[in-house]
Amino acid sequence: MKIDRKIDRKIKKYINNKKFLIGSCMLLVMVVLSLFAPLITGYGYDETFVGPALEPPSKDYWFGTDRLGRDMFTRVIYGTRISLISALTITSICFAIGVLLGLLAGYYGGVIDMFVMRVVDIFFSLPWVLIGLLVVVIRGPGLLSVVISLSLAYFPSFTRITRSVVLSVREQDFVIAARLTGESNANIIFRYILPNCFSALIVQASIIMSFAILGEAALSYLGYGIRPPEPSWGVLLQQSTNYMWDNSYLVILPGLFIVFTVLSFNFMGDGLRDLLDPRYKRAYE
Amino acid sequence: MSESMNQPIHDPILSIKNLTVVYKDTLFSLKKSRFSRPAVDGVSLDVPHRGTIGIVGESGCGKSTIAKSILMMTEPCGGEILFNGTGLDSWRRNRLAYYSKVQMIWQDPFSSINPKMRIQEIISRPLHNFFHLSSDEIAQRLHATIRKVGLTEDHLVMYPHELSGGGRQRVTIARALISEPILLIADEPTSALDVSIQAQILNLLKELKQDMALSMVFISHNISVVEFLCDSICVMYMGRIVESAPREVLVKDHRHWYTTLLFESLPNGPRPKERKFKVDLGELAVCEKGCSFAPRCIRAEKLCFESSPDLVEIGPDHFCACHFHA
Ligand SMILES: Nc1ncnc2c1ncn2[C@@H]1O[C@H](COP(=O)(O)OP(=O)(O)O)[C@@H](O)[C@H]1O
Ligand SMILES: [Mg+2]
Repeated sequence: MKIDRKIDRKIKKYINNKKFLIGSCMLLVMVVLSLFAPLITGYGYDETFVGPALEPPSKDYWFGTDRLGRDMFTRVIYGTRISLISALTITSICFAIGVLLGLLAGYYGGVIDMFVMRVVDIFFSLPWVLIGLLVVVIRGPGLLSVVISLSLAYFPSFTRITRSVVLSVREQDFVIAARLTGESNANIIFRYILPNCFSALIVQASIIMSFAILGEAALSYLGYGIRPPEPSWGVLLQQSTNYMWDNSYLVILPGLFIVFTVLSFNFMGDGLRDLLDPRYKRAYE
Repeated sequence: MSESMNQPIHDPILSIKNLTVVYKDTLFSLKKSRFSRPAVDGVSLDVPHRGTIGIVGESGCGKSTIAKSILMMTEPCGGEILFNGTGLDSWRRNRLAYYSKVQMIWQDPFSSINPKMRIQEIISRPLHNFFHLSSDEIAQRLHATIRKVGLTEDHLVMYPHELSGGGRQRVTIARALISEPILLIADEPTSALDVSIQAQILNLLKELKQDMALSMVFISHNISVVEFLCDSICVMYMGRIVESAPREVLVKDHRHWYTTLLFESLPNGPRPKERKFKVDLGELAVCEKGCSFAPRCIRAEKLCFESSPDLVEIGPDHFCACHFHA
């Protein structure tokens, strides 16, 4: 009973936050589109000449067709799949590597901190396009190259945030008390410090999701990333640039999908930042 | 556990000899130790088996530093600490065994427990770390312990933020006592609590001390709290013990002016008729050569600013560091 009410209150708090609500609804739309893509559209994303080439949007072809007569709507929603999956993979890898390094640097300090943070600084100072270029030169374009290069580009932010939170949590009495209860370093890090870092990290994760979506689209647009015929949003934009003056729907509609998804993560991030901030809790509860 | 039972218990259980601790300032340290004087300066005290020693003094006088030294959280610069007849240097090699016998309660029950852990886990972690027990045995001891400290089964699945300050302090007491230690260090365990709760916690500690045959070092800035719980009391000022005596003696026949001040500072303490208060620049006025209390002392004379008084025995078990203790 009591617990039910508590969960109720928690859910209400999240629903009452407009930014979080809007962001998560927008994201839900994208997830549903990508999960049920085969049910939503009758065409295959790579099926050519399902209709006339370069047909503007109509009842049959909601987003029109491209130069090979492929249905653009089908290609865009299949692109959602690629985008979300690659963004999720990139963010997870960044989270795992970045947080682990941040925990080690912040907890042990000294030489380890010095070494880890200098390595992180190097990646922080390299523009992500450059990292992408380097990775592609080494191992050719493809989804894996996108994941590797964007993971390298974005993990430093997690390391920095984790480290700074660890530095403040580490000094609290409960960590010192943990040592008196015989906890090992690993236990202190993973049971005492990490759980107290999560609120800051979740916000960062939602921001990195939107960066990853933009990054993947950009790298694929430049030809470093996902290759045709896979319908990544970047690929769609790139294939449409030649026709964009006469058939502007070819770039506008995939572009809107990118904006929509990035916005959904940004809204969620903003909402979460407010929701997880203890000062906010006191003021609005 | 059985090992500690069989081991003969040495009396005094804890013996501090001439302990000196100096905090070295690092370039970036936030807490600068003023005047680079020692935080603890030549403190000696014995805790008899099953006895309770109180340490009292204003904040910054080095009480917590003594607690930290006993728990091996600071490196002492001089002196030694013996627990159960063995020096801490040897115990350092076997910290788990040491911490299963020496435990601590903290001042702030809000920062001393992990906000992301359930109460049952907080309390039972020491058992997992110190002993090899089956989950049945752990559950059994967990339930026995929470009953002792006055928590209920309902509390076990809660998170710390669902408890009041008093409840949380009971959790830290349970965490400290579940491994059945023989020595408990309590560093101002009631100063962060409401007055009504303070009494409950003090009574609880008094009871537990009896039931579990605990020896205790009880630290407070409030002399009435120390008086309630302790067999003998050490009064500290600026890192030194200025007066120590069995409780009755200290209450009725204290000789150091600082002890008098501590009693007078109590809300219902004795009021002197004429208040000849030295201006309280106490924090700033530090007398380098002489008695460190001299700048605040109304009895201070020339001698006090020139030579520092030694802690001398002025009665049975009654020590005082004052040139004019008579
Ligand atoms: N980590 C530290 N670094 C430097 N100085 C410290 C540190 N901790 C305490 N001190 C100094 O040591 C003195 C004694 O502190 P403490 O033992 O905490 O006093 P109490 O517990 O009696 O209030 C104080 O002057 C304080 O400023
Ligand atoms: Mg203190």
